[in-house]
Amino acid sequence: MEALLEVKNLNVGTGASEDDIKILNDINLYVNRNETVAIVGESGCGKSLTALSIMGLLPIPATKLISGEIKYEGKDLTKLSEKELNRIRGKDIAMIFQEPMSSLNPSFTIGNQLAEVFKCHTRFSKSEIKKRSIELLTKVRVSDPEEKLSAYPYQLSGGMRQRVMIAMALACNPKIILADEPTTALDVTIQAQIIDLLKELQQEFGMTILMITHDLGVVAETCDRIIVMYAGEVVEEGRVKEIFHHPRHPYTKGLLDSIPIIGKPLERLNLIKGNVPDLNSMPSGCRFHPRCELATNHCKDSKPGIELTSGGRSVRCWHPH
Amino acid sequence: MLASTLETSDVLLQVNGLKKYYFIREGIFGGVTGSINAVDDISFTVKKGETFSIVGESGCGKSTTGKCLVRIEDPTSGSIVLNNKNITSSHGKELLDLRRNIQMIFQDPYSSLNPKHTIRESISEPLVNFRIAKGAELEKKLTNLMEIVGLSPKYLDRYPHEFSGGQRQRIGIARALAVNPELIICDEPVSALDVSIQSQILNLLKDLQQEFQLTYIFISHDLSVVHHISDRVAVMYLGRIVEMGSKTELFNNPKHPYTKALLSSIPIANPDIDNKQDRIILNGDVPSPRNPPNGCYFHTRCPYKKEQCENSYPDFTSISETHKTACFYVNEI
Repeated sequence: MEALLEVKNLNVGTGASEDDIKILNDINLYVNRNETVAIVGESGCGKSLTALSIMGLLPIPATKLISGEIKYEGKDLTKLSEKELNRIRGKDIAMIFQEPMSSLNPSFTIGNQLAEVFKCHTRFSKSEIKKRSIELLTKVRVSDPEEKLSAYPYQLSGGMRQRVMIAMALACNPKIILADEPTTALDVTIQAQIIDLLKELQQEFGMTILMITHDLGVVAETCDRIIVMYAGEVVEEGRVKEIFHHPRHPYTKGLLDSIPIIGKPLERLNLIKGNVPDLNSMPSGCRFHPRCELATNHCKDSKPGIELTSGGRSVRCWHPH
Repeated sequence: MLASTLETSDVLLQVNGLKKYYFIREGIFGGVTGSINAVDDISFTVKKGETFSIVGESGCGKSTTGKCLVRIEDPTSGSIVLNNKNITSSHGKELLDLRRNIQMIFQDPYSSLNPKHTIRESISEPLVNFRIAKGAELEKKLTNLMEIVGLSPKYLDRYPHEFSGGQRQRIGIARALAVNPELIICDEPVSALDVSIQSQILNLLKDLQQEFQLTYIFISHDLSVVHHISDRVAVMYLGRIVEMGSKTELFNNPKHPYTKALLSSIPIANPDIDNKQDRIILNGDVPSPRNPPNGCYFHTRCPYKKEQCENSYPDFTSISETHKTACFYVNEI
């Protein structure tokens, strides 16, 4: 089966020349239809940048796509013109951003911002747009949807704003949604509401979701497959249950061991020593070796490769668990 | 009261009826038109050497409580007694002495260190202010503090921007430890950090507590972290404590519907557990503290509410000596 979205050998850096810093290094991933895939990693590992590359929203001139293919339904998005890309993003590929406060325009009403999506991608009349907007807001369970159309973002709570963001993403029945930390800025009780909503929408519309998060709890509850990133590289990939029960990469294992879990009391938490490496002084060989307990001289000298096989698992490590 | 059951010598801090109201002034004459009751009549006791956690969602008043305790904010009413001394209205030298005993670790390690000061300047400030050390002794103390929090003393002359979030939080901890406080208020000390770094800081806080017999008031919204670090926990909702008890009581046998909902909404990092069946999803958002609902503040979102809840606010009911909750229907839920 052909994947809905496929990223092949993606490289992103601060520039194209040899001395420029490479932020994403040879990223390979795929998302099948009706699948929820999570990209997991700590801040600075490149997970958001991967999503932005897919959307063609890389911050310019700070970053540059050096090489690689991003294939959506067989079309390479990197080769499309801005105009062609605009026809796809927002319609077929939609994105939910992390910060509901800063990703909505504060000086336009909710109705205005929802209508914009329709104006870009459809030929609906004004009354039809209004009807659809109300439908959408009802679908994401916003109370008094008709009234909310004339509200400004500041008049809504964080959870409501995130619902509006989701409604905007859903407006044109996208085939795939990229959700960048959709619940991180929210309180737990609101987070539970939003996750519940996402799951329901996923079942109802058979939506494909690529979720970016650092919260392993959210991943365990919502996703089918995990892609673990570390320092700009994919280090492990596999189905959720397999990764949680048998993490093979020492980083994945460390990450899973270091979260406090209620009902599993520990006197001391296990931890990964040290810090995430700096982009401009990446360690030689395996990028994780300075923090890895299993590291040998071989890890210092040469870089392990990763094989991405459909259905199977893959790991970038010389001494996997 | 809980305090009466304890030896008085065990009690470090006693808070009684603490209130912090922010008054809203509007119009050209600046008349008071309302108030935001950030902290609304809360009482608790903290024993020496324990970790007392305050949990709740954003806007529930947990940080304001912390700020009142160090007197960054002046409480509207109520009393705060530290070591049998009422510190609610201390000022001048008395307030200085107080701050030697209570220190604070802030949430955001990026904004709580002065970017124009080197680490040496930041950490030595309390030592010089309180005339604790100078000259060679100061140098020795600084080196020692850096080593305690796991940083190399050679970093002392660097600026905050040269450090990662976790390292900055370590610097914040070193600064708080500098004056040998008895009580440290940790206001969301790990929420801004990545998981792998979060566990480092939590372990460090636990080690330091043992080494220096510290007492912590740990303010957080992350229940897994709270479960890991606390001895006793208080849950706040809209400025009030709705349930308080030992860690095991509260996590294994939550009595207040809000605590139950809060606990059931934590996503569990185990794909085998499907807790969707017993997940309580609350309706709606936290009401605005400017006009809280009548009766029990939680009734607008409570799945168990009855008529009585809309009319009057429930008193604390004791479930055990240490476990209390403010709900009319404790025994039925």
